Amino acid sequence: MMGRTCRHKLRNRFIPMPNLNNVSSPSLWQRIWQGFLTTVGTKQFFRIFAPWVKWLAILAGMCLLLGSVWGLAFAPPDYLQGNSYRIIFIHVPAASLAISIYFALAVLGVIYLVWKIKTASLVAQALAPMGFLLCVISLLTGSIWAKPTWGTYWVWDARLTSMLILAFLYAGVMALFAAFEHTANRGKAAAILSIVGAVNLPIIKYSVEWWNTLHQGATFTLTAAPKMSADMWMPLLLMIIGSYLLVATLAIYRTNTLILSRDQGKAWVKEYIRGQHK
Amino acid sequence: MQPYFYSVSEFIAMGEHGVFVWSCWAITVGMMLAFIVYSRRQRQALIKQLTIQQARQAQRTAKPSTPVTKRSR
Repeated sequence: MMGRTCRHKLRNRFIPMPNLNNVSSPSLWQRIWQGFLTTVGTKQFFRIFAPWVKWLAILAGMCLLLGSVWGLAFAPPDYLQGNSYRIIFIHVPAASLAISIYFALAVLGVIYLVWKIKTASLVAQALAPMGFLLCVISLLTGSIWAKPTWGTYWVWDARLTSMLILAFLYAGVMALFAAFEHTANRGKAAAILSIVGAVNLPIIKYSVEWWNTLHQGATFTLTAAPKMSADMWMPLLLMIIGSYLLVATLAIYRTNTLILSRDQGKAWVKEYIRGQHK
Repeated sequence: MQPYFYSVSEFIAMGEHGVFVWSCWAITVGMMLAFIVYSRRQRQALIKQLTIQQARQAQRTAKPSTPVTKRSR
């Protein structure tokens, strides 16, 4: 006399498999791992990072303002390029971030696919449009800079072409995030493209070494001393730090918006919304 | 530290490269500001939508209960 619904309920009932090898309580490592999994939940992410937004934004704004004024008005011009080199203060941070954000998308994709942590997928969704924007900015500023320096707006150089491909990859990831109605599928498809597309990153990085490109090599590396004078690289460093902070701010803010939208049925979100109007 | 440029007009001209430098900065600042405003609007729209939704739900749960209590009296 078992009805349809009844059988359905039985099938969906969660029955834990008895572990015959290890009957003892979970190990310390397992407990830490479980604790970690709960702290990266959407609610905890919101609670922990929402207060950071304001301070990160202030810090980012200060770095960017100081770096801009220093770079535009105080730094000396380049002996070869004159004042056109001042474009470096936005071109390099934008390009560096475009690459870093894509790397972050790939790492978040792996985290989402392997450990099924939803927050990772939401952070990736929040980051993708920012990466696209910065990639476009680096391409535009690069081509404007190329006109006075190389005499042309665009060449099919290895660095430029691989960067253009990165912009298309970003567009693809964004399209996948927008294409699916179901949240889990959306995250999976975008994660797979992010991971596969990461093949492009070493190509961008080493394009200036593998091929004979018009684009110059890296000005900044973590290992060697800068190839610029201090009053040029210090504002550049400020701009790089400032833009990383700005991206972190926006990433948190946008992820929290997505979290509120996703968890809108949950009690804590309802409470938060009620708190917004008091 | 001394500013590199002697006058404002020199600063704007940037040698012969003013057009290139300033157009880059305008594009970047414009796009980033637009993106920040867009992100903020998205959040505000969501909060507004959820507030309206909650108010409706509160009404829906409040309405049926009032006639029932009146009838019981």
